[in-house]
Amino acid sequence: MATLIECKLCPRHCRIGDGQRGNCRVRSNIDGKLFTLVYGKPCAIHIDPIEKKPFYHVLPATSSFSIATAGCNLHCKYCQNWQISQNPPEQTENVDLSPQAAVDAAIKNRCRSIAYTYSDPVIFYEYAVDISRLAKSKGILNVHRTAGYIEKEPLEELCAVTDAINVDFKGITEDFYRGMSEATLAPVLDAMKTIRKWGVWLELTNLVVPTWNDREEDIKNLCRWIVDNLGAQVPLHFSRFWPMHQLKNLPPTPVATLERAYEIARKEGLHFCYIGNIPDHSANNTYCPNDGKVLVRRIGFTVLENNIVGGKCKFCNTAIPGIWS
Amino acid sequence: MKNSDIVFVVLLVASSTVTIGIIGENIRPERTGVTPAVVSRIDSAKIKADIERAGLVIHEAKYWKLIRP
Repeated sequence: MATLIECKLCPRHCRIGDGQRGNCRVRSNIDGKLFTLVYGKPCAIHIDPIEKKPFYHVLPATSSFSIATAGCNLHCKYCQNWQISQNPPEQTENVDLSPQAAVDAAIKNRCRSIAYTYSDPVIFYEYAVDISRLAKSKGILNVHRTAGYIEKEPLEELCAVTDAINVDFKGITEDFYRGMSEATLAPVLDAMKTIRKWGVWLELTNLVVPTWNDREEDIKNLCRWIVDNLGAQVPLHFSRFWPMHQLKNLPPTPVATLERAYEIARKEGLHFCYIGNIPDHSANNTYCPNDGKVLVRRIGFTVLENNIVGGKCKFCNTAIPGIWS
Repeated sequence: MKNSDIVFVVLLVASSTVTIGIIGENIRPERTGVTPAVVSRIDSAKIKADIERAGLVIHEAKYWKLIRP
């Protein structure tokens, strides 16, 4: 009789039959045991500015050794990495990179952090955790860019070896998550609360997609939820959508829409808001919530000026949350 | 329409029905009495060989449970 396994890594709880794979395409039931097929087999390796993840409150102007494997447990219509996230590992060009080799490469390339990114690190969980343990022992930070679609127990194990997480807070309605990503909202809300509870540095990204999640009401509700449940000091990046993957029919997000979202977020009480994917916009900068002065001036991912000293505004001595050294 | 035409049409339809029935019977999978929900075990050696051929390796995953051994 054929075996049947239930995967408990993410809220999908895929029931996987003999020889079959989970929704993520990279976890397989072989003879009644679950295996990951992407351990040590990344298909994307880059050295990026940490600001690209985006992390604006973590080690500014440093490089992050960024990796990803094939697969993903979401299926977002706008995915910019769909060639790797929406394909099984047989259809991506993978390289051999053991956890030790990944850490050695980060050190060799003077990267202060390792970023688990591009697809979604939830689906290469075991690989990410093993690299993280080694990196931590060498004083290298571990940072994640994720949709946050993960169960509590694995998330807590991950938080113990992770320094910063940027969660894609895609929208504030279940309908949006279902329609855009074939997922649900509630587990993502729980994940963000768990990350905060563990004291892992948290930044959020909201990709504003015309006609999907750009209503002022939705943006206000999203910001309010953040303030009420995570705190006003959690940075929120509004990111500009570009036509991509299954949404090539839509226009790019108007700059005015992003500026309005920024205003709503500030009005709802969020201290640190940003507009992403518009390199020369003033909302790329970090401003002191106390005296309004520019703390970190950026153009694109490049830091031009940094006025945070010892984790404080150098002008008024206000403590600025983040990981600055 | 003449009676002979009607007879012709009836015979044509009847013979077509019989022909389709015979073809259908030949391509229908053999009924074994096994319910569709129960599938025989997959050859795990073949699965592993396929994975290896693709340049991948298997690594034990975490966070799962066995529903049916």
